[in-house]
Amino acid sequence: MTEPKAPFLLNITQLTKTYDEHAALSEFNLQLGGGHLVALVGHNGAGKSTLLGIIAGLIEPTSGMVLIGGNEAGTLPARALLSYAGDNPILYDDLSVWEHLEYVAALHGAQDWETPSRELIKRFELLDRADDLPSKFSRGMRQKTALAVALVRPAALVIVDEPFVGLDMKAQAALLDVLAARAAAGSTVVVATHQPLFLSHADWCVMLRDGQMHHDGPPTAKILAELQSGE
Amino acid sequence: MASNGDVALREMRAARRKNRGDQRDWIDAWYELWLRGFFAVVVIVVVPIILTGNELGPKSIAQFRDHAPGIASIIVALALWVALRAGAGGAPLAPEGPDVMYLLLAPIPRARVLRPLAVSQLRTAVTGGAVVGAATGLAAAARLPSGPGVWALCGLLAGPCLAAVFWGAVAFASAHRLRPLITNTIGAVLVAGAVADACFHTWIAPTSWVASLTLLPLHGVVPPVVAAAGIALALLVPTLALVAIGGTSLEPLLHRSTLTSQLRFAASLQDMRTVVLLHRQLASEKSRSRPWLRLPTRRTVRRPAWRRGWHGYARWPLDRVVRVFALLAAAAVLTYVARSTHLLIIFAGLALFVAALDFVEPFGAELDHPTLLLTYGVSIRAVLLRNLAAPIVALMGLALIGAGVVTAVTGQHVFLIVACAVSASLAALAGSALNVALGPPTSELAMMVFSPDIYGMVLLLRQGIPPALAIGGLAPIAVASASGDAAAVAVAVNVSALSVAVLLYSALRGV
Repeated sequence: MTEPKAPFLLNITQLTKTYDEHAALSEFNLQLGGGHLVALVGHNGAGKSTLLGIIAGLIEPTSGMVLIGGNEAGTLPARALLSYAGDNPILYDDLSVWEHLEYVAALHGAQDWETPSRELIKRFELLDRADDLPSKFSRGMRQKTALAVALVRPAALVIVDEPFVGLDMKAQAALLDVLAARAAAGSTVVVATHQPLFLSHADWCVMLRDGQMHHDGPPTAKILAELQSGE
Repeated sequence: MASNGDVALREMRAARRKNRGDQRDWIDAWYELWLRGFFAVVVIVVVPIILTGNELGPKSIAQFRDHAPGIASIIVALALWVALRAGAGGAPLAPEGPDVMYLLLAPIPRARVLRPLAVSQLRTAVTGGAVVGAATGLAAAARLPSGPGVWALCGLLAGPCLAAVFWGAVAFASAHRLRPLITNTIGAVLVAGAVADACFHTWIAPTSWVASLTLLPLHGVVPPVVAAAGIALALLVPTLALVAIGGTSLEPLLHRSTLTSQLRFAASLQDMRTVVLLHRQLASEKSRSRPWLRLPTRRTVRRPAWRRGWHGYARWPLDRVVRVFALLAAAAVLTYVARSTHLLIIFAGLALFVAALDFVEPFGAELDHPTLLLTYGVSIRAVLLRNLAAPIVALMGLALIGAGVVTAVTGQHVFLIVACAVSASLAALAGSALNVALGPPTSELAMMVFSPDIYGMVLLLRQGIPPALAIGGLAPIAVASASGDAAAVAVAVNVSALSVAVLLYSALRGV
């Protein structure tokens, strides 16, 4: 377990996001280096999804700065370093699982995408359904497809919002393994979750409370207790 | 990297075309094309018939030549203001959700993804502008000199140019992420310039250049250089928007992509209420956290439904207030003009119908939550009926205020104007309440009606009666010119009685 060191892969300074009069994030700071498995936790409405959305370049910050590998979030070089999976699986109705993987891998310039893709969908038990359209899938299978599409990209920073929702225990375990392997391979993986199980696998924990940093460090028993009690 | 992305983009589009082709019958594609062509022909034929009238006399034509350029410029300026505000809210692009998630987050230039979508939208706007322009040109030819051919050609030029400028203004504001303060400032300056041109009969404001294209057949009114400037502007504004389109913020795009697909689905079900609700979300209309007026707090609330209605109105956002008043004003102006062009009451009635859909919101909100209604411990029908009180008082009150102003100015036809205000507001509310109460067509209805032809007729009646009722509320205007005020007042009383019956039916129908 090592502390994040400069040069930071993700560098967030004085980030604020307000919706009308409500501050979703307030003067938030965070620095993360490479190779971490980070749990982003906090109660409902704490600002987790907003933070991930801003890092992904989907949401405009009100003020402050987010740099990914030294590039401003949302810019072309920052997007090349990033992979994002939202809390709601969004997929094309007219592309099969395999076509999704091929397409997104190609968009991100992945050279050898077929072997890892096959491995990914095998882990998620989608191999037999690779040629099927996700529009015919259940919520859980769509979630697994969206995660596979996010994880097929060669990204230095992987951010995933509530990935365990809708997955059965076997799929949750497979996802944990995949995310841990990704972090071990050098990517930083940030996972927003309410799942206490993930905290025991993460090497870093960021806890938000009402849009402000509550904890930034290795996961502790106190944080786990807070998460389990729902405080 | 970009070249990889380009190849992937091309291949994906080919794969999607292929997959869609597999699922779609070519007959459907031809049918869609035929339907669009049919709609265009209907517009070109029907609009001139609705707007037809007698040729204006020399004095009226002279007045028209004097004032039309200024008024047209002000209308264009107001429309551009609305367009810029829409652009600041994220319009006009609405890519598919997966396109936002995968294409726009991929390391390829966003302009390459958004520009084809923008060009397609612009093409649709320009085509629509040409159809409406040609129809309006033909309608103008009935009243103004120069002949139908010249006016139709003028419409074919002006319609696409106006559509291009409006679309371009929306897209420009969105691509440059202009803030509401800036769009409001630009809009106000444009309107001020147009008003100045109207007052001083000048051609300084850019909106006057574009508006001038609608008046080209009037000899000696529009200087050629002004018309040329109007055409140049119609080319420049969308071009600037297309150049900058990659700068569009993703935040509203993702929001719009979800809502637009829901909106299309609701429209396909002909569910007017859902369309209105989704349209509000699309325009980012949120109820005010601080109401315009706060009702006094009471320890014992005797009329909760009545107070609930006014609480809702007090939180209307400014955009909705402006839209509703604009619709009511448009209905009033169209009703005034309908004295000579009777069929304009169709548009006036439709404007009232759409405005009334906002007024019946307290009633609609209760119907949206049937399970909540069941928990109230009082009669559902009584709750629904009481929720119609605030809408009736609000809309009829506004109509009577308007009638009062008109009678104070003209001093004529007092009974007729008041009777029309009552019948029009009641009929619009009855139409919208009925529309909300009926809801979208259900699968049970389709099961009950075996023949597709009969089902089509049932659907047409079901969706057509509510707006027809709203239009019927203005029937006294048409009757007055043919049979006098007394007959018109009698019609107004009958329409009002029918409207009350429909309002009662809508509430008593339950959930």
